[in-house]
Parts: sequence; structure tokens; C-alpha cells
Amino acid sequence: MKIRGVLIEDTFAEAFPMKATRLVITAANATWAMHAAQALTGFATSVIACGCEAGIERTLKPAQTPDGRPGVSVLLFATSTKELTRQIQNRVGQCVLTAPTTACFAGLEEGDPLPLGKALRFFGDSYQISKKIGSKRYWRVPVMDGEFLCEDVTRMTKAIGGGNFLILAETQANALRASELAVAAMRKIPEVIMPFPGGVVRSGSKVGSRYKALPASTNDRYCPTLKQVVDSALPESVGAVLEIVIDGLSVEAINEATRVGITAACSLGREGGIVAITAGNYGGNLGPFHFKLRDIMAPRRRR
Amino acid sequence: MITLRLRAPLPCLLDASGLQPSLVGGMDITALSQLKLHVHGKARPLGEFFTLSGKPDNTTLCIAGVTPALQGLGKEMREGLLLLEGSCGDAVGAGMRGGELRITGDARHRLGAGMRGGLIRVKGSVGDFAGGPLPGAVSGMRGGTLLISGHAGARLADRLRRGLILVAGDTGPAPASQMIAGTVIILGTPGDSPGSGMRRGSLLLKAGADALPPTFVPTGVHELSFITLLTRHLETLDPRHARALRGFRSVRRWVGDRGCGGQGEILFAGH
Repeated sequence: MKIRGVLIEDTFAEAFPMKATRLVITAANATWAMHAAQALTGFATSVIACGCEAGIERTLKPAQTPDGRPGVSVLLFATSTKELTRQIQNRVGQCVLTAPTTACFAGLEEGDPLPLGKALRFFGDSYQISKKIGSKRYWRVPVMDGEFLCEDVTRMTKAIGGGNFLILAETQANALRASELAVAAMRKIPEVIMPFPGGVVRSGSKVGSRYKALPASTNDRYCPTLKQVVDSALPESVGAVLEIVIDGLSVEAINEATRVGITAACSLGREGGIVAITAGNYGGNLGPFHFKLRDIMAPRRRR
Repeated sequence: MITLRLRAPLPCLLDASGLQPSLVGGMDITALSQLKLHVHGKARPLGEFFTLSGKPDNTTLCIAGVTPALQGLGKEMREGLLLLEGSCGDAVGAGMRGGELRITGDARHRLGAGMRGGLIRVKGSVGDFAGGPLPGAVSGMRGGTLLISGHAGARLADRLRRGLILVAGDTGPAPASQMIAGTVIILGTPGDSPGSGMRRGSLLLKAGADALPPTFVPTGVHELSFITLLTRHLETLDPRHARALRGFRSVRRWVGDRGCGGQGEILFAGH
């Protein structure tokens, strides 16, 4: 299969089950909501060393938030309920509670409850106020600019982490341009995040290392500088590879994000220096979710 | 929906606590007319007091021509919609846990006393101790919502523990007295000493700053996000009254009752 002359390899991305939640952060204006959201999702690129993977899902208009102020929706993914709980408390406590004028709400209506304000309320040192409105409980924690309003619990749902595709390009500039186009298109898709900086990762990894202490190391088969040194997966024409990792709340969301991302990357065409699109997997034996590139990119039938 | 209509004014008090949609709404007319009501310790058929019409429906029951002689209406109700056309007696909806109760007229004292859930709407006015405790109980209402379109008597929300009470009109003396938690909104003029003995909870007032007990202390003017949540919640229940909350975007906040170490708050609109 080729799209605008770009080869879509007959392979699949292998992804894993994760636990996720959505939080809605609001503030007096969009700038401060974004400050808090960026801090909360900082250093959350990979569960390998960050504890969770997190990213900004989208910005919200005042009419879309519980308290009628501008907001940002963020998604957090972790490998266990315990770790997700810990990450929520640490990140909201240090990055949202601390940011001027902010409030924090659950962004999912269903799922198992995880403590949010229920844990953070103790910062109020007994001056916190519980307020039950409808079926939901909120905490009003006194802080120096007024009150930090926080929903009692957030909801956890089953999710998928590790969807991905790789852009193989002639030059680093070609790969970067295609990646930027892909991420820009993918950010319009709800229920997914691309957790790496700018949504793009250059240090794709393989499991294991020659060094005992390292659980993962560079994906040498995709490093252009090692083409003649290792059993390289890269054709002669490829000079740079960039990967886009996708975490999502559902298979459908990752499918759609992959589709629009690859479509955008391929819009540059073969003449734009894009050689091929492939995906990372471990042979299909580790992760239960397989995102087959050619199935995803197959032309849609009109109903 | 089945409608029960009183045939004539009742000569005595009648225990009507069993007349609830989930208990009798599904019965056919014949069975329902034979249902026993207790009057002066004697069991008498319901059909002796009421005419019955409509189709069985276990979600909605209407009682027309309600008078204060009907006792225990909506007592410990759990589900369904109970429509009460007329003016009710004491303790309507006492101990209610769910469902909705609508009263087209007035209600006397202790409306919703000790209720734990559900929604009571009153088109008219109510007597004393609405949302307060059942006799001998430590706390008042512990959940649910009271929406009163008219006025309320003395000691509204006395010892309120949880839940929401809105009064569109004025109230008698000492609203939110000894309030433990929860939310009370008074859109008219509150009586003297609002919030006296208040421990926690929120009392939202549009007027009556001059009637505050001296044991409340001012903490300044604030914009509190939870009021937007409260307004949006009220919009789902009663848009007309929710609009009146727009004046609370910026509030002057008083804390008390410091006379008893309380941390309750009284929020005045329009600052």
C-alpha cells in the first residue's frame, strides 16, 4: 500500500492495557488553566521512568466546563490503579492546587472512583469546606488567593497505551515536518494524547540492553547512523526516523488518531522526502492490542 | 397516573402515609378502593374517603383536594412522583429518601423534617422548622432538596446536616439556626438572627445584612466558583430560581457563628 508514493508497511503497532482518568482544569482565564495543565502533564512521557503518561487532550470553552470558566482537559495513563492514584494526588497537589485561580474536576462520569479532592482537602487544615451539589461532592480548600475548588473523586477507566507509528524520511527536516503535521491533525481527535514533547519521540526504544541496569535501550535497527553496523530496518534512502506514540481511552480513538496522523504525514508525499510509515511492535506476543496500519489506512467504504 | 380525590372534608385525622406511588400506584382501581386506611384505630376502605380515577401507574400518584387532616403524606417516600393538590398539614415528606413530592398549595410545620434524599417542591408557603429535625432527632435534613416558591416560617433549616433548601420568599426568625452543614438560599428577606448557632454550611442571602448576629465576622468580598456549580445544578431543577442566583457571582462573606466556634458562612449577593 502506498499513499502519495509513501509506503505503508504491512505491520502493526502493539499496545498495552492501562488505567486512565481525565481531569478538567479551569482558571480565571485560559492562560492560567494552560499553565496548570502544562505543569501537571510535565515529565510524563513514559511510564518507564515518569510514573505515568499524561498530556493535554484539548482546551475547553467556558460553556464546556463545570464552573463556566476557560479550561483544559488532560488525560493521565498509568499501569496500575495504585500508581495512577499516586500520580493524580502528587501532580494535582503540586501543579494545580498551587496555580492561581484554578479548580479541578473529574472529566469522566463513569468508572471506579479515585480520590482527588478527597485526598487534597487535608491541605485545608480543617478549614476546608465540603459541598455536595446534586450527586457530586466538592471540596473548597482555602488558599491565599481565595479558594481551591476540587471535585471529591475522579473516575478511572480502562485504556490503551503504546499505540504508535514511525515516519521514515530522507532527512531529519523532512521527518520533523511530517511529524509536526501529523501531531497537529491528531490533536483534534478526542480521547487521545501524544505524551512525548511536542507529541514526537526520536529515541524509540527496544526492550533490554547490553547493560544490566537498563530495562530499555535505543532501537538500534531504526537508527540511521547504525545502518551498516547492525541488522538495520532502514533502507538506504532513509536518513531520519521519528515516532509518534499514542495513548487513548479506546481502540477506536487510537485507530482514528493513527489514521489522521498518517494521512497528514503522507500529505508531504514521496517527493516531500517521506519514504515510509511503519510501526513498533514486539512480535505481537506482549501486547493484546494490535493496530494494523494497512487496515487502518484502507479506504473507507461509503454507506 | 391514578388520582385520588377527597369526597368530602374529613371529620378526623387520617393516616395517609401509605399513599405513595411505589406502594399503591400500581394497583387497579378496585383493589386500591379496598385498601385499608386507619381512622381512630379502625381500618376503613380508601374508597369511603376518596373517589378514584385514572390508570394504574407505579411512578405517579396524585391526591387532589388535600387538607391538613391528611397526616403523614410522603412519609419516608423512596421513589416516584407524588402530586399533592391543595394545602398540606404537618411533617409532609418527613424522613423522605427519594422521589419527588409536589405541593400546589401551602404546607404547615416541619416540611421535609429529617429527609435524606429526594426533592420537594412547594408552590405556596411553609410553616416553621422546614427541613429541620424530626422531634427528638439530633440533626435536621440529611440530604435532598427543598424548593419553596413562597415564604417559610421560623427556624428554617434548623440543624440542617446536608442538602439544599431554597426559599424564594421571606422567612421567619432564625433561618439556618444551629445549622451543621448543607446549603440554604433565601431570595427574599430573612427573619432576625440568620445563622445563629451555625456550625458549618452555607447560607446565601439577598437581603438582611442588618439582621446578622454580632457573632459573625466579615471576611471580605469573594468570587466563589462553587456558586456557579450550584447555579447550574439549580437550572436543572428550577430555571426561574436559578436565574436569581446570578447576583451571587461576587459575594460578601461572613463567617460564624463564632459565639459557638462555628465556621459556617453567610454569603450576601451583589457586591
